[in-house]
Amino acid sequence: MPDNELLQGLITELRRGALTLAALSCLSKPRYGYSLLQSLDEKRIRIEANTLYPLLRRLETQGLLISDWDTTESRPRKYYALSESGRELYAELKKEWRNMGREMERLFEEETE
Amino acid sequence: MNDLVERYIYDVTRRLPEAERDEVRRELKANIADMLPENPREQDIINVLTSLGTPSKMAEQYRQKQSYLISPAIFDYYISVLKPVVIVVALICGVVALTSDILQFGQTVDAAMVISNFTQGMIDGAIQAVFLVTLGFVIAERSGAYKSKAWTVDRLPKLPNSSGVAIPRVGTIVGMVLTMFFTGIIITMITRNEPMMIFALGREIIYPFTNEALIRCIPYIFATGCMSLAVGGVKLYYARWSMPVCAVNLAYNVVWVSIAVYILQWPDLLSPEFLEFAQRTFTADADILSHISDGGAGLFLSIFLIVIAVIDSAAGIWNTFKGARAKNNA
Repeated sequence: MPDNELLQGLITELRRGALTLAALSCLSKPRYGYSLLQSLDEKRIRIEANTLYPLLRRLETQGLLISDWDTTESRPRKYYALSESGRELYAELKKEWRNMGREMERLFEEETE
Repeated sequence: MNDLVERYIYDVTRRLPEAERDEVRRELKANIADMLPENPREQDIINVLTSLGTPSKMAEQYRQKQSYLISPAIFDYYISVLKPVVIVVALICGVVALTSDILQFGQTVDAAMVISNFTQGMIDGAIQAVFLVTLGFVIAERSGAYKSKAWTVDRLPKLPNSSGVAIPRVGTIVGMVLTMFFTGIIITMITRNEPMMIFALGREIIYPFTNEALIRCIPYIFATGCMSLAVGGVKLYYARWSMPVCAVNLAYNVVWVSIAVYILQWPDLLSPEFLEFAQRTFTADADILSHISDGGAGLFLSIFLIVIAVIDSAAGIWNTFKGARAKNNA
């Protein structure tokens, strides 16, 4: 019987890196925080609000995203989108993710030989 | 209860640096508003805020760096420095506090005063030591002293001599500092003709030792102090009981006990007024104490000191051979 708490912890570790990639993948067009959250939720990516919102802010500080306040609607909303360097970085990360996937698959196959 | 959202946002932003607060506040307000229906009921608000998790966790996510006072990387090192320093400083401060008060003219010495002075000194010393060590590490780390430079094999420490019974460094250092302290104090007091160990009993003030004798003691006290420091140095250097350490320890014990016994034999050590006082007070009582008046006190004390020296030497010999046996069995 695997220790559930231990398993959950390891799964969180596993997914942590993927969350940045998941967020970036939705930001080719400007999105605001909550809509991004809903979007990821629809695609069954488990991410919590208190992880996503600070993550967006951090990615902006790192230069991957640009933000803009839309004050035209009844409620002001902050929109995030990929910056130029953000686009390039996202492409690199995607490639790396696919490489990792292939590497891991290879490892799993070898292990069953 | 209408201000739950405001209070939540406040609880998050107050944990963030001032520059960030405004922007985070605006963002969170917009995000939370999006998560709520048009005219939210109180229960809706409670649900949404609960789903956001504790404000401190949210704030932690917003903070760019982890906030430690002393980072995990050097924490072990910090503790390993903190422990011996605090112990040494606490003990020394305790002794200094105690003796500084005793040396005041007319201060009575009783158990309560000893304990309270010593404890006070220890606590003060310990608190200061902890503060200063911590401050030192905090400054050193933030100024980049511990940024990982490229590591090379030259930086590997030498193996400790793993055989033999260890001599605790802390004890040795404390002993050395106390030796310096007391030797200094006693010699200073003698040369300044300050009263040594006054017995203030009601009306009488009696100086137990003659001044001439005390002055002649000075070179012996000084020499013994220096030898004690040298022995301490040897113990620190070797750090474990071994033949050379044992021999030095034994030799030192022989020397200091011989000096002490010799001094105790001086006929003019005890002052006449003290002898007379002793005669008056103790002859009426037990036989042993009456010996003080006829110089037997010297003998009594000598035996006591010899026993101490023998025990200490024996302990050293025991530790040395215990280590040797363990080495042979290894």
